[in-house]
Amino acid sequence: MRFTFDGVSYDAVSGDTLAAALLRNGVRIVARGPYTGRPRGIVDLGAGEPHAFVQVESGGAGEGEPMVRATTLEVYDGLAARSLAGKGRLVDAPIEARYDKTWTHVDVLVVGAGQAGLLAALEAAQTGARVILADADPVRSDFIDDLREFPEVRVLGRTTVTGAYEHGFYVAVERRASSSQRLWHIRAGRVVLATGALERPILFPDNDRPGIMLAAAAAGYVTRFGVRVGNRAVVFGCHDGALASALTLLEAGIDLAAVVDARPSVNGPLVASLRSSGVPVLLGAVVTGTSADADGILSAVHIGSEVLECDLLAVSGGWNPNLHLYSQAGGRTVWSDEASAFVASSTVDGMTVVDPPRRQHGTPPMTLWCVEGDPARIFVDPHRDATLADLRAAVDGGMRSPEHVKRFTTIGTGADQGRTSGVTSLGALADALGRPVGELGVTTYRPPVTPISFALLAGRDRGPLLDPARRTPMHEWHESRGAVWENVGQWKRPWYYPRDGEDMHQAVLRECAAAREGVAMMDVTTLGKIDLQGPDTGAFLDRIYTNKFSSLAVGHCRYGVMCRADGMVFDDGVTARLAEERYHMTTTTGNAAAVLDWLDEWLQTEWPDLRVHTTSVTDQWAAVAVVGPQSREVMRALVPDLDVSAEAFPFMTVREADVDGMPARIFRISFTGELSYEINVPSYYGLALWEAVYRAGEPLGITPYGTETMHVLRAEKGFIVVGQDTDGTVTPHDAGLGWAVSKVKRFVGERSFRRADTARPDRKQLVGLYPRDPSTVVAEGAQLVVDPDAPIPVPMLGHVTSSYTSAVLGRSFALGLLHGGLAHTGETVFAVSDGRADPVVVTDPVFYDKEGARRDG
Amino acid sequence: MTAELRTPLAHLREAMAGSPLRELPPRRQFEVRGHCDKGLWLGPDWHLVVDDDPPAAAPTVSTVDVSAARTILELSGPNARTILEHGCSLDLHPRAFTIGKSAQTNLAKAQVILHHTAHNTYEIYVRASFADYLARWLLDAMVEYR
Repeated sequence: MRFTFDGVSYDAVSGDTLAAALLRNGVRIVARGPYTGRPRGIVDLGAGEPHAFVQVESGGAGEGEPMVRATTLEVYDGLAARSLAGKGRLVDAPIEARYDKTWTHVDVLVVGAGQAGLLAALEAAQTGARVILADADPVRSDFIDDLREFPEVRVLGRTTVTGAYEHGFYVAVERRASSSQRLWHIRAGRVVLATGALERPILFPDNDRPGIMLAAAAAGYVTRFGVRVGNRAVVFGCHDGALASALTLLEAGIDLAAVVDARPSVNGPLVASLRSSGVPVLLGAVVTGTSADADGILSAVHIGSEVLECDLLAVSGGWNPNLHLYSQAGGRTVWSDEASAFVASSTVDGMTVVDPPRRQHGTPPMTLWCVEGDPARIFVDPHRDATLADLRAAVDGGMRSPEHVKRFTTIGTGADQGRTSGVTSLGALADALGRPVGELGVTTYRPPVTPISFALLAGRDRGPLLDPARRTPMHEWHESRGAVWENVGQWKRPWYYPRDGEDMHQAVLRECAAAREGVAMMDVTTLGKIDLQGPDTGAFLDRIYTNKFSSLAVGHCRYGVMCRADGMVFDDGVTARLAEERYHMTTTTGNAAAVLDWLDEWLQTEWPDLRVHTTSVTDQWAAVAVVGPQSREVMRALVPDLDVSAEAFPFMTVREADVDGMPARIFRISFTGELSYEINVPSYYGLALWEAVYRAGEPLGITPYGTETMHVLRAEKGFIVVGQDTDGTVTPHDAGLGWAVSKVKRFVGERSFRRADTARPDRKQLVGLYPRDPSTVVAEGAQLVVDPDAPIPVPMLGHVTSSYTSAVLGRSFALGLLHGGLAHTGETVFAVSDGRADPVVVTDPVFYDKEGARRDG
Repeated sequence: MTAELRTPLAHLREAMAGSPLRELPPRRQFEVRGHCDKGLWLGPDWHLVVDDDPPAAAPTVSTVDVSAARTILELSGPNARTILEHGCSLDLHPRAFTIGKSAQTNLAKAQVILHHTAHNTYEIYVRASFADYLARWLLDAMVEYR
């Protein structure tokens, strides 16, 4: 396999990590310190790596991933990577790798596929349990074949369990072929943590040079990858594990210049083996510094005044049990002198922590954090270029808690999350404070154990799948007629239908004119619809709406306003009484789910005695509004058996009828002020209904119109749109809907109208606005002020909520909320936006057909 | 037709008596019984009935025709459960979500009723306006398993 690193081509062996392949090719410098620019090399074998984060550049043009650990990235043919100095670079080109998610439930989750984990998985499997065995590395073992015989066992190699959450919920990241990744959400009955231990370094001056590695990592590259990590090595440690690593290096044919052990006396077979092989073992000694060649690569190790030439320094300060997940799940740790580590000290429900094997054969370990020397050259967290001098500055500044010191020095906050430096930095802090490390305690571990990319969190929820696009049954018709779409909540609604060469302005003027002068049609399927049934429905609606519905006659409709408990407008719509105990409610398009929740909340928590059932029927019904003075003619052609005269089918009533063979409910309601009919049919007839209306209206030139025209038409009549002309601070009275507020009954929000604040005369209230210049359309959201040249802060009196050009008025107009409202009628204020101040005259918000003469055609 | 039935719990037995739905199981378990093609438990006082004939309305039962409200997708094959697990957090293992069971849940970003109808076969009831989205999501989820 061929790969490139920093533009140079190299060979790799199948199964190599990038780190192993680089060491195999003698590449020592793989990163630079983010602030110091010092050269850095590979330190660890796996996820503890603090230096070797690379930018992956292979894949399509511009494809790549920043900050990938070279120690966990498996080389593939054609891999291209580049070294970094502490931070990567996000590419903005789309990536082709597949990121997805999945959910699963198991009886037992085993984390770590070492000997203990494999045995635990096998034992669980034999009981028939559903098992996941996850390991951050590729899982290699003969046991795996045994496990595969159990259909309920899943072995996830290259999978890091990154988070432990409530109730046995775990999140894991699986690295898959072709840079793809999968996020696993695992609900586990029991968890076995067999995550072993993490080796920790010892601090000394110039401890960050390329060629200085963790001892077991150096040994691991030899045994796992067959990579000779150096020619002449010094091993520095304070426990028997370091001696074992030294022996491994020796057996691989690496010349050992010396083994330096800080313990004053060491017994046992390891030290004997080393000595019998002729390796100098220096007891009670420490490494006090290092030298480098011209490139900054390790060239010699200082032990006091003695200088030993070498190209590898293998260091081990001991082993920290890997308790990240245990700690995340609420497990406590306590310092053990015997183990020279923080160990588990409590139990977590449903979690079994496997003690890592103590790699001790003879003399107990010694706890050694730091060798004295120039503190500015001792790198406590090399990933952050943070030194012992920084740590002491924090202590001199009065900080005592590891959490404070962490935030002040940034130690442990890098992309490596301080996995290798964490406990050692605590030890260095304990030394600086002159306190035992056990008293400090470890900083809290939080998910994720290793970073998760945003791309993986997004998964497949991107592009067209980012958010569901709700479509009406007439969607394709609109599309075929070139509709421009507006997103309303999750719905796709036609905004306007431009004809050849028309811009939006021209199209909307044409559509408006058709609705006012001829006949037009609109897809109103998206309105929220709720079926309410039960003997107490009328009484319930009386409590929800500001106006009365129990008195509504069967077959009739009424406009209703509902408020939150604070008395502010929450939603509005027309509700019809279909039968004595049955109502059909409509809500605004964007609020349908919120209104249903609101109704159910009151029914379930406050008034369970009311016998009312609510059912969403938004998707059950497709609806077409037929609008305009000629709409009655279209209805006559469409529904010849129904008397659609003003007398037989009056305003605000509902009829059931057969429309072209389709069972329909027809409402004589109007959101434009014009004569209009809203025909509802079961939604699978939606397109057929639309086409039938279009056919019936074609001789009259029926014009489909979109949401923009709807907004203009309703604004001409001063009809508000909840959420556009209201914002949660507007009472029905403020919005000019005081007529719809009952004075004789109680309803949600009613009590708030007795507050002094809701009676203030200077509340922001709905007004109409005419720009002085009839061709100027002021900006929606523009602030209203008396004097735009007043010194800052300019007193702001309100804002523009809706603003359009009207075909029927022949000029621009707007709605707004203004302090004191209609008391300012006739006055001029200024609409200020983007450096412009346009004079506007305050007027009545009903601009057209004030007497309501047009609703019956 | 498909209808949602809402019945006060205290009246359930009385409401069902004499109707084709009298054998509707008031549990989170679906089985084909009596004259009713299909009855799914949606909540303590809430059932979904799928039947050729409209269910007889007992006085205390509120019945709403929702035949057009939901699109039914059938997903079948050896990887059907795997596909669902890419977007559903429920335990769909056949030991837990046995054949016959149904649940109201989320699949991807759509609210659905999921019904395990047969071995490796599921019916997904999704609101009609979300059907296009969900079908696209399912097709995308299947890419890996073709």
